Amino acid sequence: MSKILEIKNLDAGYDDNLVLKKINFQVHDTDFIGIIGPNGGGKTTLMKAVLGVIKPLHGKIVYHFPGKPNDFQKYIGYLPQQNLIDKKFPISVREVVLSGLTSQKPLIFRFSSADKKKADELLEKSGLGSISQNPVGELSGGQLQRVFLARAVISNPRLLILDEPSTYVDNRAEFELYETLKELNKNIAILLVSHDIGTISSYIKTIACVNGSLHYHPSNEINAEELNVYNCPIDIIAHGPVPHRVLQEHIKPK
Amino acid sequence: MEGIFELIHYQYFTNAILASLLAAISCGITGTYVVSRRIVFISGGITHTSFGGIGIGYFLGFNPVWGAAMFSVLSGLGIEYFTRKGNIRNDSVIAMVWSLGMAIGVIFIYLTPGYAPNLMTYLFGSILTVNSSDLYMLFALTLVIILFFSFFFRRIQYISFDQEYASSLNLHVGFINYSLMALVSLTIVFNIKLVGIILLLSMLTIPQNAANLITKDYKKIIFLSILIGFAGSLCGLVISYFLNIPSGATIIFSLVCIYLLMRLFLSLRKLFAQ
Repeated sequence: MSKILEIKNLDAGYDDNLVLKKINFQVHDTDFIGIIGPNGGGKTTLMKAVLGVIKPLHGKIVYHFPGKPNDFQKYIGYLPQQNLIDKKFPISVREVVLSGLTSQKPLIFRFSSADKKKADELLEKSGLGSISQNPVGELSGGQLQRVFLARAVISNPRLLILDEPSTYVDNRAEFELYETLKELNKNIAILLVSHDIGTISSYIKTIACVNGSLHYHPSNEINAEELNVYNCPIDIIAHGPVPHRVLQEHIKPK
Repeated sequence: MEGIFELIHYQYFTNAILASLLAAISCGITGTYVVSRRIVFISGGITHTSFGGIGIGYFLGFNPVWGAAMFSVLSGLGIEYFTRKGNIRNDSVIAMVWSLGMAIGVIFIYLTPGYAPNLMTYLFGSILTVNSSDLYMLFALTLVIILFFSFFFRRIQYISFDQEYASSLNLHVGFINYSLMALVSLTIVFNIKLVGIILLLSMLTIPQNAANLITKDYKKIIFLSILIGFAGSLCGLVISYFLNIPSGATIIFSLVCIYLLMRLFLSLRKLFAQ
């Protein structure tokens, strides 16, 4: 187990809004970390800082990737939220997957036939081979999710970051997605941002709770009191072969 | 019909045809970017703001096109800057810049003593007055646009599709977006003489939307837009000549007719296929 990412004393946010204070956190190469916390708590800000989309206001993020320190973005795969995408945009499924390779390319480039072959193989593996030339607007939520996952992993990243991947996806697609992630986790560290940790708890290994500050739980089991302290709203985390449903508490007879 | 072919012998008419072609190419390419990135309203803002530069050009006695170029490039880059910062209401700011530009234009035109020649040209276009120096400028710009899009095609497409993801890959989002805003602004200014400020927005949007009716491929939308834009400009040019109407109006009218005919054809085909 080796370190791939160290966050040291990080303050992050926007112009006049400091969202994250004094974050210290490490990611190792076999991690599968669920990042949870309330809306506005800073999950997205933390993710953007790690992706290099926003600059730290204070402190730093150290990446232990091969190559030059400034090239860290080449080693991170990212799956954004679906609702940020313009579904009418003229772009084909295969072009979207190929775009994941752009960070490996010089400023002016063309995709090689090896690149295209790789994209086709990934699409074939995701069961999308027959629709690789279709515009993305024709896909279902689950299919689009698979396309974005293929785009995120086509560059063989060391770290995969997913933002709310279960939104807009039905239960079956969600199950398949997590099975794929489990497989990918053998080689790639995964950070999964979600407000809905209950459904993924059997896949994640550890949990980081973000609400202004960050609290790391080195297991995937948390007790309720611990979470209450940090103000993280969690309904239920359950393990077992049968999907759980929790009903209201019985009124105890006096 | 013979009248049309005789016109080719006149220099001003050949200029107008060349201008139509260059307009179709420059607007076809940059318009595809504008439409796909959904910044049509921003382009409207840039177009109308350029009127301020025209007014100042009249007032200080230099070529109004240069004033327009300065105003539109500055407003284009400014709007892009504030969009990137993302902490203000984008549409309100655009509306403000839009009307401020028009206001400045009106103020300076009225402050200029005497009659403002060619004012109608800038507002509604006059394709038959395009001279060779206009053509050289438009040609140079078109060349730059073609080169920029061939070099950075993928980056442009990916950044417009998913800017958040493109930033995470460090696709030089800032450089590409600012350059494109400058090119869109200059495209608008150099086409003012053909279509006029009031109607220019349509040149950047109608061909693209017509092309998008039959293809969902970015490159094909560009090529088809150029084709449709050229057809519309030629029709508009001929109507403008024979009826003596500002070319902006006739070109836009032709483009909308092409768009509607395509829609009609597609619906009929769908109807009969069933």
